[in-house]
Amino acid sequence: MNHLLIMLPILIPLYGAILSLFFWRSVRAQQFVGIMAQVCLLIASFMLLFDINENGIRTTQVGSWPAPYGITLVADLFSAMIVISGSITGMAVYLFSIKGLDKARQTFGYYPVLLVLQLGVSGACLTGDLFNLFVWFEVLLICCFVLIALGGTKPQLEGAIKYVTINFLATNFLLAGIGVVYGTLGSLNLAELAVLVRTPAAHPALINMAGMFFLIAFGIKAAIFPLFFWLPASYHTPPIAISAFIAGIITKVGMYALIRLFTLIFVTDQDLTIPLFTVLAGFTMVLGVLGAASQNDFRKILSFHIVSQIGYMLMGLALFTPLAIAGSIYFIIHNILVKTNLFLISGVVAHRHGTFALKKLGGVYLQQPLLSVLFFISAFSLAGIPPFSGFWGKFMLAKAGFEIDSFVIVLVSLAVSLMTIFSMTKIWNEVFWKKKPESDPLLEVMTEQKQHHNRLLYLPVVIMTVFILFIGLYAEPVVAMAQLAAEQLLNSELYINAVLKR
Amino acid sequence: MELILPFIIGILYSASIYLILHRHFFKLILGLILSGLATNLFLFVIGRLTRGGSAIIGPDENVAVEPFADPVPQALLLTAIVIGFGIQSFTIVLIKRVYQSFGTTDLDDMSTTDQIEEHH
Amino acid sequence: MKTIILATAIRILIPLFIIFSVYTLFRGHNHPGGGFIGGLIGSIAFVFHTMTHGPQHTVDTFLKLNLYGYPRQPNQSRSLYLMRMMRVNVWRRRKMARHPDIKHHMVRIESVYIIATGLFLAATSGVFGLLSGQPFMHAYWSDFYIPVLGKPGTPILFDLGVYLLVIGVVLKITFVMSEE
Repeated sequence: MNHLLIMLPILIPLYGAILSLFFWRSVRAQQFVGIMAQVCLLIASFMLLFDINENGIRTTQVGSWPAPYGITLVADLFSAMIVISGSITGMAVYLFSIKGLDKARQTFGYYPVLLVLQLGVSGACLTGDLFNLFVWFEVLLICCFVLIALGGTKPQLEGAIKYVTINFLATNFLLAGIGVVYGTLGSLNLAELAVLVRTPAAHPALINMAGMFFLIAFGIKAAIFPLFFWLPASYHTPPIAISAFIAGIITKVGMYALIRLFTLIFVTDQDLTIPLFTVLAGFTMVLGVLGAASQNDFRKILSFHIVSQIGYMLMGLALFTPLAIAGSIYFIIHNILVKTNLFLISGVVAHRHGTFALKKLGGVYLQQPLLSVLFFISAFSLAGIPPFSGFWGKFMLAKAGFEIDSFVIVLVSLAVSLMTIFSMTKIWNEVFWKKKPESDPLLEVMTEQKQHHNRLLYLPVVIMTVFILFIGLYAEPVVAMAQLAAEQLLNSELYINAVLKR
Repeated sequence: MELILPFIIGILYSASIYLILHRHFFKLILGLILSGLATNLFLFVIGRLTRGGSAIIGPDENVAVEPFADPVPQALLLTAIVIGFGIQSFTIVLIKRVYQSFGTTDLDDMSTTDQIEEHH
Repeated sequence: MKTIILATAIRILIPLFIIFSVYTLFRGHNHPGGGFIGGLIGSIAFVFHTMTHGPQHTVDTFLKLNLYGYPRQPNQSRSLYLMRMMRVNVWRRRKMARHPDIKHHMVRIESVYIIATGLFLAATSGVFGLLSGQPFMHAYWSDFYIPVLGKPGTPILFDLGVYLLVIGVVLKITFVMSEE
C-alpha cells in the first residue's frame, strides 16, 4: 500500500495518457479519460498527503534495488503539497479546455500531452535521485514545447523558439552540474549526496561550482532575475487552456527543485548562497513587477507577475529560517492556484470579448458581475490583501525577514506588493470598470455566438476560487502543514534516514 | 586523452555559443547541437575515463575487478543523448515551420512577442 | 529515392533486420542488447523501405490490417456476431476473401497505437509488483525455461514495451519527415 500510494500520482497520468492515445480518433473519449484521470489524481494526491502527515516521509525503491543504487521515490510534505496543487490546477484546466480550446488543437493530442506534462510534474516532485530529476524535467519540458507550439500560429512559433532555445541551454547546464556532482561525490541519490557533502572529504569548491550550475539551470526554468526574459516572451502566446497550466505550475516546479537542492545538498557554503539569493530575489521581484506595470495586455501583465512572484519564493530560500521556508512553501501553493485562476479568468473574458488588449476591453463588470467578483478575489489574493491567501505567505516571509534583521529585502517585497496592487487595479479599471469602448461590429457578431459556452467556462474558475478562499480564510491548517514541511526540509536527517533506512 | 578532451569540450562550447549568438536560424540549430555534444562529452570525461576495462562482471567472479569502467556515467550519457536527440529533432522541425510561416532566416525578425502591443 | 540495388537488397535485408532485432530484444536479459536497441534495429528495416518505396507503400505493405466482415443480420445477437466476426478474421482467411457476401476492409495501424501499446506494456510490467505489495517494477521470474526466449518474467514485458515504443516513435518521425 505504501509503495502504491507514492506511485499513484505518477501512474494515473501515465495510464490516462496511454488511454488517451488509444482513443486518438475520439476527442470526446479523451475528454472523459482525462477528467477521470484528474479526479483520481486529486484523490490519490490527497491520500498521499494525509498519509505523509500521519506517518512521516514515505519512500519506495523502484524495482526493489536498495537505496543508494536503485531509483528512489521520496514523498515528503513539500512534494505532496506541490503534487496536490498541480492536480487541482490540472483539473481546472481540463474542465476549461473542453469548451475553451478550439477543436483543432484538441484533436491534435492536447489531452495526452497535458497528462504527460502532469506525469512530469509528479515525477519531478517525487523523485529522490538527481538524474531522475533531470529526466522528469525533460519529460515536462518537452510537453511544454509541444503545447506551446501546438496549433502553430505565428506568435506561438515565435514564443516556442525562444522557449526551446533557452530551455535546451538550461538542460545542458543541469547535465553539466549533475556530471560535476557525480564526478566529485560518486553518487546521484539525493540522500546519499546529502550525507557525502557533509563529510570532510568533499571538495567545497567543486560542490559550490555544481551548485551554481544547478542555480543557473533551475534559475532559467524558474525565471529568476537575469534569466527570466524568455517567460514574458512566450507564456502569453498559446491559448489560455495551455498557458494557464504552464504559467501556473512549470516555474514553480523549477522553484521546488531549487528549494529541495539548496536545503538538502548545497548547504555547506551559505556565506555565498544567502547573499546571492537575497540579491537575486530582490531584483526578480522588482523587475518583474516593473515589467508588468509597462504592459497593456491582460496575459502579458500576468506573465510578468509570475516573474515577480518567483522573487518571493526565492526570498524564503534567501532568509533560510524555518518560518521563511514555510512562507515560501505556502506562497508556492497559493501562487500556483491564483496564477492559474487569473489566467483562466482572462481566458473567460477573452472568450466573450475576443481580445486580451486592455484598451479594447471594458464594461465586463456590467455584463459578467460574477466573473468580476471572482477576479477581485484572485487579484487581491495575488496582491496580498489581508483576508486572502497571498497575505499569509507575504506575512510569514516578512516576519521571518524582520526576525533576522534583513530589512532591505522585506522593504523591497512590501514595495513590490504595492506595485502589484497597482497592476491589479489597472486590470480592474481597464477590463471590468471602465465603459466598453466602441468596437468593430465583426467582433460583436463573433462573440455573440460564443455566449452559450460561457457557463461551463465558469466552473473551473469557481472551483479554483473556492480553493483560494479556503487556503486564505482557513489558512491555519495549510500554514501549519507548510511549517511542518519546512521543518522536514531543514532537518535533512529525516530525509536521509527515511531513504537510507538507517 | 584526459588532457585533450577538456580542450575539445572548451572549443565545442565556445563554438556553440558563437553560433547561437548568430542571427541565422541554421546556425542556431548547429549551436544547440554542438552545445549538447559538448555537454555529453563533459559528462563522459567527468565520469573518469578507463581504458580497456568493461563494466561486465566475468562468469567466475562475484564483483567487478579493477580496472573497470564506471557504468553510471555511460547510462547517464545514453539517456542524455536520447533526450537531446528528441529535443534537437523537435527544434529542427520547429525552425522549419518558423521558416515556412515567417519567410525569414533572421532571428532579429522574431521580436514581436517581446514588444508592448498597442493593438492597432 | 528509387535505386534498384537498394530495392532488391531490401527484400533480403528486411527479414534479416527484423529477426536480428527480435534476437537482440531477447538477448538483452543477460547480455548487451534489449528493447531500445532492438527497436532501433527493427525500425531500420521500415526506414529503408520508406527510403526506397515511399511512406505510402510502407504503410500499405506493413501497417494495413485486412479485415473481413459482413453486416449483422437483424435477428443475430450482438455477442454472437462479434464472435463470428473474430472467427472470420482469424480462421481460414483465404477462403473468406473469396466469399461473395463478405466485404474486405483495410484498416491502417497508426503509429500512435503502436506507441500506446508499447507504453502500456512497459507501464503494466511494473504494476505487477505493486499489486502484490512490492515496489513498482519489482521483477517476477517464472521457474521454467523456454528454449528461445529464456526465462519469461515481467522485465521481458518491459523490454517488449520499449521495443514497440521505439518502433512506433521512429515510424512516426519517418512518416512525418518523408511526407513533407
